[in-house]
Amino acid sequence: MNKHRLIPCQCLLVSFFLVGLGFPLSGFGFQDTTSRSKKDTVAADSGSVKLRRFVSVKNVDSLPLKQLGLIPFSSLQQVIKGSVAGVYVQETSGEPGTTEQSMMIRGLPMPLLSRKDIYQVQPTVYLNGIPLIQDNPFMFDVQRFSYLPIGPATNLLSTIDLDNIESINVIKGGAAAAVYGPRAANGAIFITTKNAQEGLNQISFNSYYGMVQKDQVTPANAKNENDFRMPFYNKFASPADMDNYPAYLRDATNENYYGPSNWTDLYYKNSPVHNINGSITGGTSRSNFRFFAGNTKSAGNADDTKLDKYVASFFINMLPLKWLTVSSMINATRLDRDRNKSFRDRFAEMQYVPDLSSPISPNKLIYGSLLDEYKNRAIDKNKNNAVQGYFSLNAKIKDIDFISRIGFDYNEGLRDVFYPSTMFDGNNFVSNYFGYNQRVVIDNILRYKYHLNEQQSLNLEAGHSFQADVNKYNYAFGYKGSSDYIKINVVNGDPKSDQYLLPKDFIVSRFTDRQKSNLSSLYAKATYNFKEDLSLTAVARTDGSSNMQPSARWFFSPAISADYNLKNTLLKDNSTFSKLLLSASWSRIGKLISDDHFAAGPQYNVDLGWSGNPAFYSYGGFGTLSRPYTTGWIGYDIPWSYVQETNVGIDAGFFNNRLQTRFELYSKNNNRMLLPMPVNAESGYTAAYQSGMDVNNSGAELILQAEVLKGTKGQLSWTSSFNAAYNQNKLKALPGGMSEILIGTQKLVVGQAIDKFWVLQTHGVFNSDVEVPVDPKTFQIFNYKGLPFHGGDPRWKDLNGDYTINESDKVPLGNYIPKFTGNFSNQFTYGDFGLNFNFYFALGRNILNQAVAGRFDFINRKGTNDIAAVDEITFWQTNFDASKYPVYNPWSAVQSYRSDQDIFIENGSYLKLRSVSLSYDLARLSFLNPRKRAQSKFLVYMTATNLFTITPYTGGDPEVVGYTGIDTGYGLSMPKTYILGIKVDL
Amino acid sequence: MKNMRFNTKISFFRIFSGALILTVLMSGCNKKLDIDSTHLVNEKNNWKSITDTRSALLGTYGLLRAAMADKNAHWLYGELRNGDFQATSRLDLKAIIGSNLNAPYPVVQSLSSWRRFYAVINSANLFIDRAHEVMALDKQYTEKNYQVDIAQMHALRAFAYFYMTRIWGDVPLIKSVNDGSFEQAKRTPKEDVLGYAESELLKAVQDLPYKYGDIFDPVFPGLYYGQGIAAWNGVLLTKVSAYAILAHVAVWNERYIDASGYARFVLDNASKAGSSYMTTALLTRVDGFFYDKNTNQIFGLPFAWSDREASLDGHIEDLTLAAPLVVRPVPQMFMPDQTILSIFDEDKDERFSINAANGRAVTDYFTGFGSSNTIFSKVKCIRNASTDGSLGLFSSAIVFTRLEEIALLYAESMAVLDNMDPAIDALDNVRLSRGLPRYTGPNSGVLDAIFKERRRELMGEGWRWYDQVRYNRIKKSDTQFNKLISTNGIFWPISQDVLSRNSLLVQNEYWR
Repeated sequence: MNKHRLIPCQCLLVSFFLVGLGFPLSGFGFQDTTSRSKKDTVAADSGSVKLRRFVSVKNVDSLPLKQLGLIPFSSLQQVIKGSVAGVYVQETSGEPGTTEQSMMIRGLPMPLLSRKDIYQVQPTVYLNGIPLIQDNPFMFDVQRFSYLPIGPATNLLSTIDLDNIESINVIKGGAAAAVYGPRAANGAIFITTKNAQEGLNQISFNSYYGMVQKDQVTPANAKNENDFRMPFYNKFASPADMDNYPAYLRDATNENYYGPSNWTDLYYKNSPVHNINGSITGGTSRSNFRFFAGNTKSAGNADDTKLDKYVASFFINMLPLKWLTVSSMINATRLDRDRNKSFRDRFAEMQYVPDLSSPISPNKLIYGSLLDEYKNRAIDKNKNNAVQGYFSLNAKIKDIDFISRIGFDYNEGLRDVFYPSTMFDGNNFVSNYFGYNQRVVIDNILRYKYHLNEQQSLNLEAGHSFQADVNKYNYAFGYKGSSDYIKINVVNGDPKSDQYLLPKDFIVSRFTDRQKSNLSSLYAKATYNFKEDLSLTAVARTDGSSNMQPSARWFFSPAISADYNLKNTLLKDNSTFSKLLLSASWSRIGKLISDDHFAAGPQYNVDLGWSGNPAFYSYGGFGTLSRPYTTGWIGYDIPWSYVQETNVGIDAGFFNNRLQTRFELYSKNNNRMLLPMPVNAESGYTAAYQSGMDVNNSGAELILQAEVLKGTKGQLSWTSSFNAAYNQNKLKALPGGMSEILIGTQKLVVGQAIDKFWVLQTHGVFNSDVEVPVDPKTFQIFNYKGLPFHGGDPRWKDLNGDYTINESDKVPLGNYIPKFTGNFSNQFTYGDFGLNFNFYFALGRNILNQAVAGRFDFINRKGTNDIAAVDEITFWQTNFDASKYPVYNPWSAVQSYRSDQDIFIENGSYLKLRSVSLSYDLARLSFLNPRKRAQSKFLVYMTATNLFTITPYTGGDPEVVGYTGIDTGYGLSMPKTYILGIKVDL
Repeated sequence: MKNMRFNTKISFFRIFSGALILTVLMSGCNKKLDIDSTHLVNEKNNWKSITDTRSALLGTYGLLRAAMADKNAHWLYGELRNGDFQATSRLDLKAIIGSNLNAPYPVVQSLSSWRRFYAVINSANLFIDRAHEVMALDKQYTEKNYQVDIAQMHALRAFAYFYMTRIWGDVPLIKSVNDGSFEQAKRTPKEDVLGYAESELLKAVQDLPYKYGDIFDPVFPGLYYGQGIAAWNGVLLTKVSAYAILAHVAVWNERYIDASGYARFVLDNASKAGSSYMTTALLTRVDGFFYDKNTNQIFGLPFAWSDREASLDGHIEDLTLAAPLVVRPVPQMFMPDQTILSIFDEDKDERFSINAANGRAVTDYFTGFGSSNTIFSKVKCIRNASTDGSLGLFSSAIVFTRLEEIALLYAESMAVLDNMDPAIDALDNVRLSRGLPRYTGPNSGVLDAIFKERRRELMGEGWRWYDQVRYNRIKKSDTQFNKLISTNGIFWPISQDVLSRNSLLVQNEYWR
């Protein structure tokens, strides 16, 4: 053992990279467990100080997994939410396993203009060093409605089982990310699984059972809706409008609508959840293994939504020679999801909107019969399989270390759908999807440590990485099969027939797409250490991406960082400060484009569709090619966009580290980003992609951690930790030196934030036509985009005084990314009892309550038969106070209740009690710990989640709104969950 | 071991060899970074073979179809304004019918943008600019084939300009590709645009065949892109189509002598293109004139079921059909019974008339007349000409013109030129095929009779508004309409979005 013993610093360095790259520490057999390096004990961690740490303090946060492990999360995003300062997670629905969850590290790097953009801002997640491949958003190209991607739409990061995880580290700053390159441009999340360990023969078993609690709502029926609408009809309706009063509201004797509203019994339900898993670790110092298997079932509080997950992992490490380590992992997951049954999602998938003039009845019998159709005759299967693995060799000869590794990640999604004719105007519908994402990564790293003298050392490192990705899907949907008993799309199997492989029964549309992209990286890194007082690091790297044009394929980027230990040098004898460390860094990293359209430059593709049918591809039966008029012109010479980040931080410990704090300031510039710039319509193009958009995100992060009561065994101890992050974004430049542009309804103004709501300001109502002012100069009547106002119309504020209300009268109001996010958690222990509670908050953030705007805008919504106007079964609940809103004429052509006005912007700040856990460790009882091992535990615990929310927001759950802060009312709320569990290590 | 130090030379050597290995790796990878995308064709790989010209040619047609189909634009531009249809609950349709073309509804705003038509023009310009490259590289792409293709692109571009100038009046005239330069251009006076369209069409008609893929065609005999007539009937612009468009260009320009000449050519040569007058039954059958693609569609843009191109919107059916023909309980627009009765006021009209014997409606145009829900069902091509309306997937073509329309246009030109006999003859051709007797009224009433016939015959084909404009240009009897014409109020406003993208554009004066 002693032979392999390294000096602490070296050990740390090695472990930093090994862990960073997913290498099992224990396999080397020379791990130093006794010596404590400075970096091992810093309280940079937002959670527990007791957490085992591998990484340096530079912009890396570790998660307090010991506490988080007691909470029943269903995805990685939920685990991260609130646990790390500076990471904002937006979930759009409480539906377990849905793909609609986003993570943003240190703010919003670009405006979210299209549905695909949210994919562009996600951090990369590494599992044991393998950068996990996610879905590519290219399937949106063939979709008429983009609420959800086609396919299972399951969150691929639901595959993570916390009981299988050793650590989760979040890489925030550019300097820390530099060594990982463009994949970490939006930050990175490192997940390290528990691994085989030398000399540790252990069996672990974890399980919980519990319940998700249903929501309590006040159901409504047609009388409520009639009472809501009648005042508008009485005040503004013409006789013809009166004749058009919806049929379902007209007849008060109609039992279906005016009868009992008892749908809630079938929609909101208490649902069981559970988790069960176990692992075995064993072996010797020359070879060891670990096996893990588990199953988790998560549930939503409504619409019978569920996620079932099965995980199995196997790890093995071997030392065939003393200087050579061979290790390997295989991790497989299966996800099975029961999706919601909302009409909107169903019609969007069918790309067909039936007549929406009457909502479904609020009666249990009618709603129940629809659910029976789902249950007995429909098919809605969503499955994902994912497998990751690696094989690595590590040769260590004296001061030279060489690592070579091949890793892969493959995941596939399958979705099979059949809706019988009884659910859809007498037609049936079938769809089948198969898609996969595949990534292979080859890494080679060479390290050399050079001692200048006793005090100074130089660590050199160079590496190369090659990554090859493939995304592919096949999708077909069909209408109108001949029978509800044939639930699959059968094709003609006779190779001689001219109908060979054509569908026999359904009217089928087929889609397929495939994208390959490669990334090659080369980097060098040098670190100079002067004792433990000063450390300087420089990284230089060059990255080549197949998604960039040949003329600008490679991007060179540097990073430098410095750490200076003030405690060791200036404050040696100071008793208040037990630690004081300054760090600063500057870095530049290239940003990857996930879309392969840009590499080709000017190009031709299929652009035959229109708004109602975007995927049309043929004319006269032949495939066609044209310029990409709809998506936008792409020229030559598109340079890499990049992230440039400056970061300063201070780590301090007081009173023998009982109080520890970290404070960081950053300024992050995402530069030279591509933006579809509006071009003259006479070119035929909607836009031309130009690079040159710069967005700055700046902010501060604070972590405070205190051992308030430092009890020894048998006494009460209390640890409290608080993290908070402030972030603001600002548009610094637009392509071509423009100062502002309007893309769709989103206005971008240089100097303003990019997450603003641009809205009209309301100043009362015109009670009659005579109140509408006239421009004394031109005698033009006060108008909305040329359309004169009338009595009953809102009086919007005319900012530029031109007597015309249009886009230039909109003001930036509110922002959808919170200014402050954070977490406050407390941990009490008394003897073997433990109590945790955990608050999460997001403050300084606004929500556009489109759900309410839609309720008021019933005339327009119903008139257009728009899919956004589908009334779900949840239409039948009273969830807003109509008296708080002004009364306008809903028939007015100015669309009085348009959602882009200030009355629908609300304060969306909230504070949530995210979890409370009570635990008791029985390991002291000797019959439960027969081998008397220190690492054994036998923990029983209870956890409750989402117990209460404090918010001024009047709509639904402020935690679940769209990525751009729009609450459409379609998301399920975050469920309250209660579980009882055990965690056993023997 | 801790103090072990390498010889500097060895260390240097190792670093050097390491770097060398990495360099080799990297250069190998550079090739790996050249990936041709599977969902696009780059500049390097296009304009190489005859398949590329076919794809680009048909792509241009497809863009025109998309422009006319988007939000049912063809009818929203042509049929609604001041027309005979009423909207049920769609406020945007009501706004168009009521001439509130600046109403801020998304559909109305979107229709005020001409971008989709300029995509057609850009695509045609590109074809004209680049197609010759293929001739040099692919022997299959013959000079003759090239000429026919170029003629189609000239004609299609001219049609797009004509279509736009009917909607917006003055529009920028762009004759070349200017790839990636996005130069802004002013609006060109509508007379010049029409003049350009006419000259382009006149050039094109020389090379256009009567039928594509026909071995007997006098202009371009033989297969076209390897396909016979079945593939191309009703799909591409023929010589007759081009003359039909020419007639319309001239009429819109109020040059009736030329118009009558062009229309005459169509009437005389329609049979060469396989077009003829149709019975009312053929016109309105589910598998009749509008269904799929056929030679009677003198110029149409098909959504052929046989090509698997049926779609949900881009069809008059999407606007007008409802129960009992399709599932939707009420149509988006309908014609009030009173209007129907006032338009169809002659006995024995197969399109619509009241049987004097029993007072019942006899009609091929409407369903459920007299009920509270009268459906305009002249065009009802559901899927494969099915009568099962549970799935509203339609296969009717967007038809610009057919022989009856050109006959009436010819009659109109002749009547304006005071050449009443040929005018009445042409009018009677249409009347007779609809079960009506010959026109017997005075010569002074011929023009009115022609326009009345157009209103009935072309109902739901996107003509009503333009017919009103032409009628009032001739008659000048309606003071309000005169004012509309003189102030350019007959045109649509240009959307704010389009105006903001090109600083040289000015809004139509009427809508300022």
